[in-house]
Amino acid sequence: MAGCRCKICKKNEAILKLESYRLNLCPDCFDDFVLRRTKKGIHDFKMFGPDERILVAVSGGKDSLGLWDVLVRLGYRADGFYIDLGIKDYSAESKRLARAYAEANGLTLHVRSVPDDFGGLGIRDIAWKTRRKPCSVCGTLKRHLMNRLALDEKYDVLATGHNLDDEVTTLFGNTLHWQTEYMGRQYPVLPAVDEGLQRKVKPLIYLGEKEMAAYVTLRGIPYIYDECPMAEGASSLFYKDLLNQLELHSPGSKLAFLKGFFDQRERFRTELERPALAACTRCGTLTTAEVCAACRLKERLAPAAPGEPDDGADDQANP
Amino acid sequence: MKVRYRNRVLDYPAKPPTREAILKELGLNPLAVLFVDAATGKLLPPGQPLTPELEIEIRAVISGG
Repeated sequence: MAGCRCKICKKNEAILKLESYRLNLCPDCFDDFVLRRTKKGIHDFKMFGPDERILVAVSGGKDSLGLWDVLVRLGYRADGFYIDLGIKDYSAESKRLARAYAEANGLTLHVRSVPDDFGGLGIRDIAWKTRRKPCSVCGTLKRHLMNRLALDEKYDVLATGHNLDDEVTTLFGNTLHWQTEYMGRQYPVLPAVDEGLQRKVKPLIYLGEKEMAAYVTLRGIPYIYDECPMAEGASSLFYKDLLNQLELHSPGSKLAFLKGFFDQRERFRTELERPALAACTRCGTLTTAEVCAACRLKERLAPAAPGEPDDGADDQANP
Repeated sequence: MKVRYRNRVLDYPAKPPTREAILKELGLNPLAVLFVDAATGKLLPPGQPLTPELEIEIRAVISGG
């Protein structure tokens, strides 16, 4: 056999080269690697306990389906939540894949639809009508709907598939623009606030995009390969490319950057004085304003409020 | 050997190039892709020689927005 051996078991043929770790791994050792890295993230940041009910935000992509699969294999009680964003073929295909995974594994998948809540409008139309960026609208509505469902269905924690690359990219962007307030909030666990905002966790904090894509491929889990059409030209994609160049030159840089930030994070937290939270007067969700960001979006779509120039300021402040 | 990446197809009818040469031609970072055997949909082992009859799909793994 001309192939190279797994660097861990030194027995089987390696199936994957992990440049960041200078490791060639066989399927069994790679599978173990992914499970262990996820467990380490859950443990290091005290994300949740074995008896808690977890709601996994599922998009049909590699990270969220991979996360759901890993959590179930680790023995956690994890259900899925898919949000139909009304992005034509992309949403139809991603919903099909999320449902297929749930059905194949006998798991519960909750489904909500943005067009059902917004008079038939999808993310693109809502963004256009409110003069906001699609990714900003998407984030606002996803956070709102996920939190609402987690509370209504009494889940203890909400898990998202944000991975190491996502977190390093966010940190890089925030550092580049010295958005210290956002840096103070960036962490793999956001604790619950009173009875209105559910705890949010990112168990894939120690796993990169390549690892998650390889994991779902090896597990035979069909996922949507295509990038969201709304993300075309997004700064995050450019930053990820830059960070991958850095990582290739200096393996381990991404993880070191993120870990170093977590060590220093308290510096930024002291700058944070979060405004008092109160129930949204329209839907009851906890918010820093009188009306939450999702309800404000709805109101801006009304004929009497034809959209004002957007500064995007409420995206991160109000769920 | 054929290499597919998104809507591009590269054909190497004679001697297949190395993985590194393919990535360089496409301007891709090895951290951003997986090499998949198009016939089976399985990962292509890093040590497996590239042969003329092989058809490879290079799958992008980066997502953002």
